[in-house]
Amino acid sequence: MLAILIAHALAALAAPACIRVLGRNGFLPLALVPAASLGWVIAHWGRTEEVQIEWVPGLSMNLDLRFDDLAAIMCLLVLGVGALVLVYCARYFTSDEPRLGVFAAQMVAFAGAMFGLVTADNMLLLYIFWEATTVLSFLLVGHNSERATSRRAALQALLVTTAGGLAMLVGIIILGEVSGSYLLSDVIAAAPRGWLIDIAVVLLLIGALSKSAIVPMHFWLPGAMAAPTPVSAYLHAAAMVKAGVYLVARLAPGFADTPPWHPTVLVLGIASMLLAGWRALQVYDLKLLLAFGTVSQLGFIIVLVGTGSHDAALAGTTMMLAHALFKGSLFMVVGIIDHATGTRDIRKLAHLGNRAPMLAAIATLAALSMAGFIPLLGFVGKEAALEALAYDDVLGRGAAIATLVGVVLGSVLTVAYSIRFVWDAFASKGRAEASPAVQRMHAPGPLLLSVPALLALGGLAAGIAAQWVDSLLQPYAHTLPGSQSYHLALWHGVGLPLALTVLVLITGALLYLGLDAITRLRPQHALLGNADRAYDAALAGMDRLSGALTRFTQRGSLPLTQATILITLAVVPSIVLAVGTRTGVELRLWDSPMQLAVGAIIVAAALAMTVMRNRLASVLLVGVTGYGCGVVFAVHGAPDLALTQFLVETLTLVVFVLVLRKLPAEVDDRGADRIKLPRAVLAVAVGAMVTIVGTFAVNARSAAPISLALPEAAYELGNGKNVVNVLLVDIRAWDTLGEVSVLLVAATGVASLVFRHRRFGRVPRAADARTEELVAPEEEVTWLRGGDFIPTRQRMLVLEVVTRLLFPTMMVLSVYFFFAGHNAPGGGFAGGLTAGLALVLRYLAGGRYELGEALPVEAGHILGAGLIFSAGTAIVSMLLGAPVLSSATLEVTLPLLGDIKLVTALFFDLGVYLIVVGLVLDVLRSLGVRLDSPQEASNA
Amino acid sequence: MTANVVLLAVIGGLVSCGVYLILERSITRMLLGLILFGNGVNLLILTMAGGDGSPAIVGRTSAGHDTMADPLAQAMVLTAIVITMGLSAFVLALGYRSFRLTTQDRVEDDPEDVKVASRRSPADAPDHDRTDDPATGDPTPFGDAFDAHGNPIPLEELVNLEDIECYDELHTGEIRRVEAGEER
Repeated sequence: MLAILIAHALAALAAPACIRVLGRNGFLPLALVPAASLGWVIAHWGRTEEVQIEWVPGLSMNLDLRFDDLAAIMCLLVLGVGALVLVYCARYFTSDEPRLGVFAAQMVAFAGAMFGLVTADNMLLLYIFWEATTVLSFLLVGHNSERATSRRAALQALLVTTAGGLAMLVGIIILGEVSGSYLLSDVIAAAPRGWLIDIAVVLLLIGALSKSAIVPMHFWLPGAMAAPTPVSAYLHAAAMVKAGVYLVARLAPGFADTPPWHPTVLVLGIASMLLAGWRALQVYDLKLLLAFGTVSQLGFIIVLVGTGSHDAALAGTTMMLAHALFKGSLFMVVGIIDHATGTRDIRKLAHLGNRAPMLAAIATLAALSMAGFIPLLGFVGKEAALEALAYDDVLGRGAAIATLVGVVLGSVLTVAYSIRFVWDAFASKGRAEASPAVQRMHAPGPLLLSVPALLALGGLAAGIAAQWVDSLLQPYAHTLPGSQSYHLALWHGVGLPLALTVLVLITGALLYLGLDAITRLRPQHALLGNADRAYDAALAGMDRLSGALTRFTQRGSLPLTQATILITLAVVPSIVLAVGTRTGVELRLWDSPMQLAVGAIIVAAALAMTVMRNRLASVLLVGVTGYGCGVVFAVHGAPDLALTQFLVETLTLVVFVLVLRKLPAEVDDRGADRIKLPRAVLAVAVGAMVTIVGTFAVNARSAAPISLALPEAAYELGNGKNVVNVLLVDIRAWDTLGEVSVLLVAATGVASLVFRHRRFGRVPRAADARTEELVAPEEEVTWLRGGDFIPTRQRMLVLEVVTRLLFPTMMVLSVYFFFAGHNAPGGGFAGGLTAGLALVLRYLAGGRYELGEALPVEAGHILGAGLIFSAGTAIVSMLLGAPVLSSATLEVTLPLLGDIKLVTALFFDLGVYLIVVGLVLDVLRSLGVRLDSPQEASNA
Repeated sequence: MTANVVLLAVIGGLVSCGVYLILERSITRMLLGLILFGNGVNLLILTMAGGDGSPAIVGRTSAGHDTMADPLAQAMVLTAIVITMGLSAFVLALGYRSFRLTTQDRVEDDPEDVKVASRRSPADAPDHDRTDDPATGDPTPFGDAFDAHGNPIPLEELVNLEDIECYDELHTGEIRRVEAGEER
């Protein structure tokens, strides 16, 4: 069974290539796949095959396949009709049809998914295949995707069946959790009961009935006739719509006697049968006629398989077979008519039977089976159905009679629209000559005709060989209660069923004759058109709702949105604090008096910022708070933090100044005055909340913190004395990996915003400059080569000299920080930032060409190399079988240096170092060099 | 654990000033506000982890401390500091670009949100195109007037005009009673 699924998947993958090479004939080799699979099904008929492969045991979702009697019947339909439809496709389409390869792939994949659906024993697996057919049906119905009609129909089918599918999923989960197993075979054998199960059954039925297009979820099926005819013949006659029938048939042995089952299945089934049957008598499009006929027939079959007795199940499966044969055949006939004459409108067809007698014969044979005429399979099935309902021993007496009456009335309609199909499509209808469409028609080819002919003859053969069909279907029927005595046969003798059949045929014929008179009596509104409009109204309503919600929540004002977030931040924790349990509050004034002194400066700077309009002054003030924090870190016992904070603060200051030189000195705060007071209130509220909640939070800490164990872990396992650094590169290296990725993205973002296009490239060097830019004489000895391009008045020789002397020192310091970081303050971040500051110095002293002189490498390459080092360490440790990002210590003896202890986390830290350097270089290149360039200066 | 009053007050001050600035429309001021807020939160993380102590380096002690300051909080704050630098650079570049385009570094109301708010008919929604009815947004036959390659064609050239008609019948639920055999 697994091989069949895999074969279909492979065939689907190969289909586009196959169609490209062979054109439309490529469908023929593809048809071999379902045909060969059908051979397997026939070879294993009557046996039960199981495949169990573990997949996601935690969710009870495993590849459990089970091939039993019911699955065999379904496979016969799915694979048999599937193979024939593919053959039909080989002549229906022309080779130059757009997207034909993809279409073929979808058809084959659909056959595979249907096979999986009917053989899946695990209910979650069933759901997966179920939705796979839904998605494929969406794609197939929307094959003519350039058309709005086609897209709308596809979307409608998708939405309706997916909504049902989701309901079904909930039902599956309830059923699986209550019964303790997700295997269909277990669940049906156990057949648990209870109100929860009743809900599950209703949800499952919603899924099944929406898939099988039962009223009131039927409207997608006529709409889906926008699909190419082979799709209609396969999905909407033989396969997909039968998935719902299959599910009902599958569940019936276990759940047919739950309270909600019969009311749902019987009432909706009969309603579909009658309403759609009536509608089929009104439409003029042959395909629509068949579509409504299908809804009607599906209602009939659902009633039969849902009754839950042996006889009805036998009748239901027989009708299912018969329906696949005659409806598939009829759809193909309509496809041929459409192809040959260019129309499907019965008002435009006359004398078609004379011009295409073979086609008329096929259609008549199939339609006779649909009407239930002896000796076709439709007759056998209908006899069995009438017998089962008339002598029912499962339903109550009243329900059985009501159902019987409904079925008889529905059958009358079926007979009428069967006659209408054949007569109105093929007859001369009293006209003297063929209609223009028919006169222009071309004769259909033999291969195209052979497929519907085969299906129609199949209905005849199966009818004659009713006893043989009986032997195929009995095993499943025996799983249901009720008298087990009924057998399918062509002739049961004269009795109530036969009398009813004759009555149905006569009344149906009369109905057709009187159709014009009857339809004139009633208003021209169809009974079922409203479901489609209800669907539209529901969609429009949801559009309106989402529009209103968007308008309400997304006002477009950033301050308003932020205020909403901040108000929530202030209010929600306060409420929790007010109503929740609180610990007592113990306070200490400070850790050291230094905190008070620095804190006062910080707060004063922050307050000054709120009234400062000058950008540069604001930046300096924010720098004061930053350096202040650095001091707090330093006295707190966090040298790494203090170091990093000082370096970052300096760099940030430079970056700010680089950008601010291009912006006006004062900020534009128009409109800010109006909302000063509410802003201040909110600001104080948030600040107070943070302080108060922080006070309570710190008092609530009672357990020993995890950090007590960290120094030992860092030293013993991470081989480093600097706990913070070991945390960054080893213990919590995942965080750092994420962080450096963010830095990389930020660097790329900065460059993209400034350069807009062609963001990659090296920083220009002195050699790249045009000679006329050169200010200083070339032969003179110079301290910084880039400085030669700075106008003499702006050049600062002292700075250049200092830079020339300081740069190597800073780089050595940077390397020291990097290497020492594992055991002393420093590390990749501090080292990288120091190197970055050295670059900043070179740039500030030597101008735009000096940066390229200092580091003639593309920033992107440095960033990329850094990420390779960091991520590479992670991957290598994984490849070596260790957990991701775990570090090891290598001890090597080198000739001169002696024993060296190398922690692999150093490579990770090297990545961090490179990314920080790359970030600084990219920022300088963008916000520094590029902003200096004439391009940015000219149109400022 | 006890709460450090001075530090918490400083944190409250930083957060308040940060929030005050964040609620402006100038990108520079918002960024500065965010940095202030971030500095406050960094201090908050630090003080939440406990009091001061020796440096978080095994084997090093400082005078007056017999315990190590919490290294976990320090690692978190270190990450935050560096991220803030990257973020600042990015927002500054954003502000610069905004200034180059609009000559001001202000965040005006989001035009897309304004557009949603001023939508008058369903046809204005982005999932409708020009083939839909401009007043109601309902699909019209013109939505089908495309050839197999997606190029628009006149409605008259459409091969399967019938498909649209039968769809229309299906949708409205109205069926034209035309005498059988009548040719249009």
